[in-house]
Amino acid sequence: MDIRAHEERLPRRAAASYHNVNDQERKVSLLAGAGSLIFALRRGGLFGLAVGALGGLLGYRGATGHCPVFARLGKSTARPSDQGLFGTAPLHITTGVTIGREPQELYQFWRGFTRLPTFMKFITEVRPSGEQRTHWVAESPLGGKLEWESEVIEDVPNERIAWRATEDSKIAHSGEIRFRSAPAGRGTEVELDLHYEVPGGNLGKAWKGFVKSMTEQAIREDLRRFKRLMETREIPTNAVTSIASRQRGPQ
Amino acid sequence: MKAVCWHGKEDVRVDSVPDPEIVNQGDALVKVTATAICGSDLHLYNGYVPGMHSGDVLGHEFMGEVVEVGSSVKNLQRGDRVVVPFALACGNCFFCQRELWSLCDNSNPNAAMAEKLWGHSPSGLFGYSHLLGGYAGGQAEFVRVPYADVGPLKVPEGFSDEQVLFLTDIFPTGYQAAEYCNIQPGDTIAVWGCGPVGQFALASARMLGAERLIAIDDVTERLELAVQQSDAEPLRPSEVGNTLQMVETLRDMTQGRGPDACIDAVGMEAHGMGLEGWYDTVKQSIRMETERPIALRQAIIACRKGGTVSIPGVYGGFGDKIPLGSMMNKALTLKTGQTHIHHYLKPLLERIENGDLDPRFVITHRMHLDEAPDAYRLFCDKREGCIKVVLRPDGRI
Repeated sequence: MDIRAHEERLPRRAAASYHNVNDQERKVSLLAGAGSLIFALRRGGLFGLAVGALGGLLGYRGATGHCPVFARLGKSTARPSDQGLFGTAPLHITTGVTIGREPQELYQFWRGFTRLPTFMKFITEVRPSGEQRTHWVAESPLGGKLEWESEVIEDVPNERIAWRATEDSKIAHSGEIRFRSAPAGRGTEVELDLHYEVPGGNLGKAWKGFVKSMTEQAIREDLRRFKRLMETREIPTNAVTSIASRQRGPQ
Repeated sequence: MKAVCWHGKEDVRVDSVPDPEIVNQGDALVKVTATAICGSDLHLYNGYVPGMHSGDVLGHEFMGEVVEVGSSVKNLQRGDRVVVPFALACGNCFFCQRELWSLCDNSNPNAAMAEKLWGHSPSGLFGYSHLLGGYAGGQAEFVRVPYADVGPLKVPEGFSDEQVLFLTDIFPTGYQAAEYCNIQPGDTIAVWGCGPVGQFALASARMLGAERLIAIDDVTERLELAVQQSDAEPLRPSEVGNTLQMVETLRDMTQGRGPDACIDAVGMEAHGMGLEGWYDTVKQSIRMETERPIALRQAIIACRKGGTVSIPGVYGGFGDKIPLGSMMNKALTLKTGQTHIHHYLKPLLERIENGDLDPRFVITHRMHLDEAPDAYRLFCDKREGCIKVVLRPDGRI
């Protein structure tokens, strides 16, 4: 199954209950709020204070997508197509590595996902949470913890595994790993496709390029550690003590 | 423990650092009995190798006694006396299986850094910058040695430390450089740089049947050693002149043919004569080029048509004015790389055992590990006839 076929079904944006203002209105609110605040500061006095308070409310509404007045009234203009102020952007990464082991051995190690944290830098835990389902815990590169549920959508023994974050997950993500014999006994060509919806789609090319290159680099390093673990049964480290090694995590 | 640490350009100190431990189960801990300063350590000392951090433990030529092994180590046990190759090799990857040990795919934890500069990463090395792994080196009391089943060679009874210490680097490095020359009967081999690697390249070329050896250097005692040990013909660049004159001199010395193979045992810090010397010194100092590849230029232009240029000398980045036209039109073969030490350990130990070569001939100084800062200074300035320094953590000389 092609990865692009199932990403259509990915939730476009994290569903947040407090979100009750649509994107268009948020932008207008933000602009109006900023204008009111500037006016208030220049005008001063009691009238200025009143306008300033209104500006603050508008700004809050625009910045967060949550309107306390709407909430009180039980009203919402939010639309399913909302992407937030900064939007989201699809991020595709395809990378690969050649590993001097048989496809079967690599497939076995990858399958079940629970052993992935040994070589994946930002994944701290993967545990089974149901038939074909796993619960993932990651350390966000920006700090904090991310958790989501993932389900296997395709599993061809010794060849490929495809998965995606479930619809109610806070992140939109899917992936596929393929194992194929390399020519002339050179082991296995491992190819990894990953898809994410990353925040900041409206922030321009430079931001998207930055996110892509950072993510790509992290994924390549994960695959390199996978190769090393499979070929040598250990992940190389220059740490001189085991404490230093643990503090650093997978290098 | 005590260790020789790098703190910046021309600043090495003996510091107290944490004792190493077994980290991965394939590791061994080695108590160092003898270690040496390599000519390539001077590139670090002079600040030309990127990726050095203050406090890095130096040293990649060392041997000692195994004091602890990880649970998966099968070939070594406590008390074994070992020499340790300077390149770390996992023994399992594509490259290790083809005996290209110094190209090991798995031993450099910082491979991504090296890939940015070189496209691909070679193996990790002990004590040789974070670009090549950031492993703590062997100029120390103890060393953590990963892949202990793959690298270390157990030293049989009857050899002294000094007899086998140079198996860790300079003997195999000089030997590989000579072997790369594919020496045929009647061949003349010219060697640029008569430091320790140059000396071993000359001695090895002699063992491999070279007819004539030409030793190129400006340091009197090094030329004398080349003459005495390897029966080489000395040639002083300062007396010959610039690159063109060097090429003409070598052509004249070989009746028009040029040396059949040329070995550049100098690397990135060659000293040029006249304008060319100034050109590279200025460009390197303002970081417009990372190398001063004068020896390499001369080796290429001087080499006989269809001959081989073998480069054990260390380069790190980008050099200027490499005579590609000469290389292409004369159909030269270039052979280079960090040495695949593991491949040479046993054969060269046999050479030592048979008496073909006693590696001790290069040693000029024996010092305590505590004296390392002085030893670096001495070696860098080539003072007091310094060619090779052996350091001992226990001070036994």
